[in-house]
Amino acid sequence: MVTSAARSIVHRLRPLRWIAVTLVLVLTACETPPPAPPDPDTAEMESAVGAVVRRAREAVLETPASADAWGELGMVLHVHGLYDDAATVYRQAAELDGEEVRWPYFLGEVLTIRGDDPEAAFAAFRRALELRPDYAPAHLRLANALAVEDRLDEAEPHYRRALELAPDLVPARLGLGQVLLLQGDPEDAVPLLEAVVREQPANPRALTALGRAYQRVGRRDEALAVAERARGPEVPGFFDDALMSQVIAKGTSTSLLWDRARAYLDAGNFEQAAAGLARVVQRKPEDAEVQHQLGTALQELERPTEAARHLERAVALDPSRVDARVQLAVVWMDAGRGDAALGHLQAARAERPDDPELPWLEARALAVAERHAEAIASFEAAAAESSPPAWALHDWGASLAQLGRYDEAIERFEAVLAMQPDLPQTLFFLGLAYEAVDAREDAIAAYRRTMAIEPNPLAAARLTALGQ
Amino acid sequence: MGCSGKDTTVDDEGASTPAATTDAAPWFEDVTAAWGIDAVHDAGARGALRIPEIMGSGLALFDADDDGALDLYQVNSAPVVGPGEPPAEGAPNRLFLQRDGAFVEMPGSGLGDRGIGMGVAVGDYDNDGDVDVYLTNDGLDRLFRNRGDGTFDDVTESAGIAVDDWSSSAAFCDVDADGHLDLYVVRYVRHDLDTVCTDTAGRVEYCGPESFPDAHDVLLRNRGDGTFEDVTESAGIGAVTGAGLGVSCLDFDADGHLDLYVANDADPNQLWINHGDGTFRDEGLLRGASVNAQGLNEAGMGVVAGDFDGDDDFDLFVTHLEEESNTYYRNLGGTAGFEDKSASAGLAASSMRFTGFGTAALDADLDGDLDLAAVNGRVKRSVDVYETSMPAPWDRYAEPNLFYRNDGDVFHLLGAEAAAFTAPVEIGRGLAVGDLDGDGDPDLALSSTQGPLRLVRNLAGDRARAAGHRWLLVEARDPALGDRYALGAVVTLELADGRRQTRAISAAASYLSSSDPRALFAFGPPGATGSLVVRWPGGVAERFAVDAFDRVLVVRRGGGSPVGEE
Repeated sequence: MVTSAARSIVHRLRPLRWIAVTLVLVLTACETPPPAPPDPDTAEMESAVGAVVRRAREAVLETPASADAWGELGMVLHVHGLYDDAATVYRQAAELDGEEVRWPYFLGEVLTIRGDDPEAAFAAFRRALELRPDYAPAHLRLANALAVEDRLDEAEPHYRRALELAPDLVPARLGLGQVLLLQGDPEDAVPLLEAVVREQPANPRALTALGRAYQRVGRRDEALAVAERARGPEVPGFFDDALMSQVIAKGTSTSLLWDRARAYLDAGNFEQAAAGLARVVQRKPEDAEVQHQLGTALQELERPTEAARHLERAVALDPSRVDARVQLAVVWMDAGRGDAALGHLQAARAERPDDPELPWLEARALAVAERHAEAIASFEAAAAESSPPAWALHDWGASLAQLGRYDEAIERFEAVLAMQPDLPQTLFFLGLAYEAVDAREDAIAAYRRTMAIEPNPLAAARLTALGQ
Repeated sequence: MGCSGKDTTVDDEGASTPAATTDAAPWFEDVTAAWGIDAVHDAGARGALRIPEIMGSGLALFDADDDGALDLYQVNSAPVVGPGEPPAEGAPNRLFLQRDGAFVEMPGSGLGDRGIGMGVAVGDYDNDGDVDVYLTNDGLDRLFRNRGDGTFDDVTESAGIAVDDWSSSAAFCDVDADGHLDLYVVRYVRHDLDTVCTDTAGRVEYCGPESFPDAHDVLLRNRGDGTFEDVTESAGIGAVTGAGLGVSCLDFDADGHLDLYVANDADPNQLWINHGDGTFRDEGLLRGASVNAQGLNEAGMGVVAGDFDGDDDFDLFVTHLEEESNTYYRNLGGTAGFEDKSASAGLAASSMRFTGFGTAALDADLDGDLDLAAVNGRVKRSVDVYETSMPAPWDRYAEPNLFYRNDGDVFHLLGAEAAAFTAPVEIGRGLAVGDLDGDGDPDLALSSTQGPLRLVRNLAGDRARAAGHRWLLVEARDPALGDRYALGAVVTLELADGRRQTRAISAAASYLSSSDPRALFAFGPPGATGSLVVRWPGGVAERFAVDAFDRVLVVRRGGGSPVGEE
C-alpha cells in the first residue's frame, strides 16, 4: 500500500521518469546497431585458415561489444594477409576499448603495410605510444613508417628513443644510421652502421648502408669490400616485439608455420622450430625439405632417434638431398652405428664427389663400425686429397691405437693438439697411447692436462694407477 | 538533439581507385578499335598456374617497313607444357603495319613466333638501314632480320644466338662503341613445373621468383659480320645473378660509356658500370640505385630512365609489387650515384596498392617535363575485385593504371582526365610510347595478360599545341652505320631563352617492351629558336642549329659543328 507521502514522491518523480524514458529512447535511437564484421571469402583458403577466420568472426557476432573478440579477428586477418579487413576490424576494436594499446599498434602496422594512407598509420602508432610511451618497438615502427615517407627529421627522434629504451634493438640502430646517412651525415652514420654489421655481419641492408657511408666519407676500398658482402639474401627483420608476437602466433597456414619455424631455426630456437615444423610435417608429410629441417631441429635438440626418422624420410623422398644424408650419417655415427652411416656417406659422395669433407666422414664411419684397418686406409686416402680436420686426426689416431700402432697414433694425437690444445678426449687418448709405449712421464703429463681442462674419472684412475 | 556520428556498419570498402587530381579535359582517348586493332593476348594459361602465364608479354612500336609511321608488334605467350603432357600451341606473335592511319595485320611478316613469348628489343644490328627484332622467350630466343620491307627472316642460328631458359627484356646497345649494336638479354629465373606455391592464407597461387633459382643475364657482342659472341663471363656480367625483368641502357654516369640498369624482381637491381674496356661492374648498391632508401630489395618489374628533374642526367623510375612503392631514383650526377626520392616526389603512397609493370616517361602535355605512366596488374589474386571486363579468374588480378603529371619537383596523380589510360582495369604488363599519329605528341600502346592490346591517343598534346606549345621530334642518325638511329645518344635542346631539356635516343625501357627511340622535345610559349647538342655514343658531341619547330628533325653524325671547336 502506497502511503500519501509515498504517492507524493511518486508524483514528484513522474516528470523525472518521463525525462528518463525520453533519454533512454533518444540514446537507444542514437546507439548504433552492432556492426557486421568483414566476411572474407574463405572458400579457397587452406582449411585450417578458413576455420580460424570463421571461428574468430563467429565470436564477434556472438559478442559484438567485445573489443577482444574484434581484436582477435583482426589479428587472424592480419597474419593471413587480409590487411584491409584487419584494419577495419582493428578500428572497431579500438573504438570499443580505447585504452588497449594493441589495437592502434596493430592498426598502424597494417596501414604501414598497405602504405597508401601513411598519415593514418602515423596517427595509429602515435595513439599506441600515448597508451604505452615506453614501448620501444612502437617507436621503431613509427620511425620506419616516417622514414619511408622521407620524413627523416621526425623519424630520427623515434629511432633514438627506441634505442634509449632498448639499447640492443638492432633495427633501430640500423634505421638511425640510414636516416643520418640520408640526412647527409655519413660521419655519424658510420659508427652506428659498423656496430650493426658487427652484430649482424650478413645483413645486406646494414652492409649496403655502411658501404654508402664509407663511400661518402672517402673510404672507397672499404666501401667496395662491404658492398660485395651486401649481395647476400635478406636477413629477416625480426626483433623482440611481444605485442606483435601475439599476431604472428595466430598464423595457421602452412606457409606461415613454415616461415615461422625457419625463423626459429635461424635464431637457434630449436625447441620452437621443432614444434612448428612438426605441424608442417603433419600437413606436408611428403615434403623432403620440411622433413629435413625437422630432422635438423631434432638433431640440435639431441633427440637422435626422432631426428633420424625425419632425415631418413627426407632422403627417401629426395635421394639427391646430400645434406640430409650427411646429417643422418652423423646421427648414426653419434649413435655408434657406423655401418648405417656408411651407406649414406657413400651415396652422398656419389652426388657430391668434390666435397672434401665426405671422405673424412666415410673414414670416421668405418672407425665407428670398428673396421679400423679399412678406416685407416680411408684416412690415408682422404689425406692424399685434403688436409685433415682435427676431429678426423683424432679418429685416425684412435683407429691406429686400436690396431696397436701407438707411435703413429701419438703422432696424430699430437697433431690434433697442435691445432686445438684443449681437447680433453684427445689428451686422454694420448695418455693411453704413451702408456702403451711405456712413456710414463708423457702419459702422466697428458692425463694431468686432461684433468686440468675437465675433471675426468678415467684420467684420474690412470693417474692413480701410475702412482700419482 | 542529434546523434554524434558513428558509422552504423563497419566499412567494407572493397577496391578503391587512387585518389587523384582532377582536371576536366581528357588527356587521352582509346583508339584501339578506331585504328583497327583487335588483338587479345594469349597467356597460354591452361589452369595449372604456371608462372610464365602471369608474367605476360610485351610489345614494340617501331617502323618495321621504313615508311615513316610506327608499326606495332604484339608478343603472345603459349602453354608451358610439362613432360608427358599433350602438346599445346599458343597464339602467334602479330605484326600490325600502319597504313593510312589504321593498323593492318601482316600475317606473313616472319615474326609470328609461337613460343612462350616474353619481350622484344628493336634495333638495326646489321647497320643496313632497317630495324631488326630480337624476341625473348621462355625457351630459345629469336633474332629476326628485316628484309627491308617489313618482313623478316629468322637468323637466330646463323647469328650464333643460343640464349635458352627464360629471358625477359632485352636491349640493343653498342656497349663497346664499335658501331655495331650489341645485345643485352635480361633473364629471370629457372622455373620448374613441380613447385606448388600458396599465399599466406594457404590459397594456391602463382609462384614468385623466390621459389626458383635466379639466372644471370647475357651479353652478346656484335662481331659486325652478322654474328654475335657471348661475352657474359669476360664482361663480368655473369658474376651476379638476379631475377631480371626490365632493362635500360644509357650513360648514367656521363663518362661516355653506355651503362646498363637492370630491374630485378626481389633481388637488388643492377647498375652495370661500363669501364670502356669490355668489362662491367655492378655498382648499384654503392651508387644507391639497387635498393630503396630503407635498403630493401623490391620486386623490380619495369624501368624507365629519363631526365625527370631537368638537370641533364638520367634518373630512374622502377615499378614494383603491391605493398612496395614504385621507386624514383634521382641521379645526383656523375659518379655521385642516386637517391631514392619516391616519397617526396609524390610517387610512393599512391603506388603502394598496385603491382606495376610497364612504365613510360613521356611529355604528354608538351610542357617540357617528363610525365610518368605505369600499367598495373597483380601477380597474386586480390580479395577485392575492381570493376572489370576481365573474366574470372583474371578479374582478381586486374588493376587500374597510373598516370602522373610532372609539376617540376613533384608528380601529381591524374584522375578521371586520364581515364582512357588508367580506367581499363586489366592485367597490365607491356607499355610502349611513340607518336603513333605523327602529330607531335606521344601516344601509348599497352599490353595485358590475357587482355586486349590497347592504343591510347594523346589529347593533352593537342590542347597544348593549340595553346602555342612547340615540339620537335629528333631522329639522331649515323650515316656511317647504315643511317641507323644512334641508340644511346644524348640530345640536349638549348633554347635561346635559356631553357634546356635533355632526352635520349633509346628504345629499350619499360617491361618486355620497346618504344619509339626518337627524342621528343616540347615547351610552352613564347616561341623560340635554339640548338641541339648531340652527344653521340662514345662521347663525341656536335651542335646543330634549330631554326624551326613542330616537325621531325633528322640530325646526322658529322653534320653538326663539334662542340669542343665552337
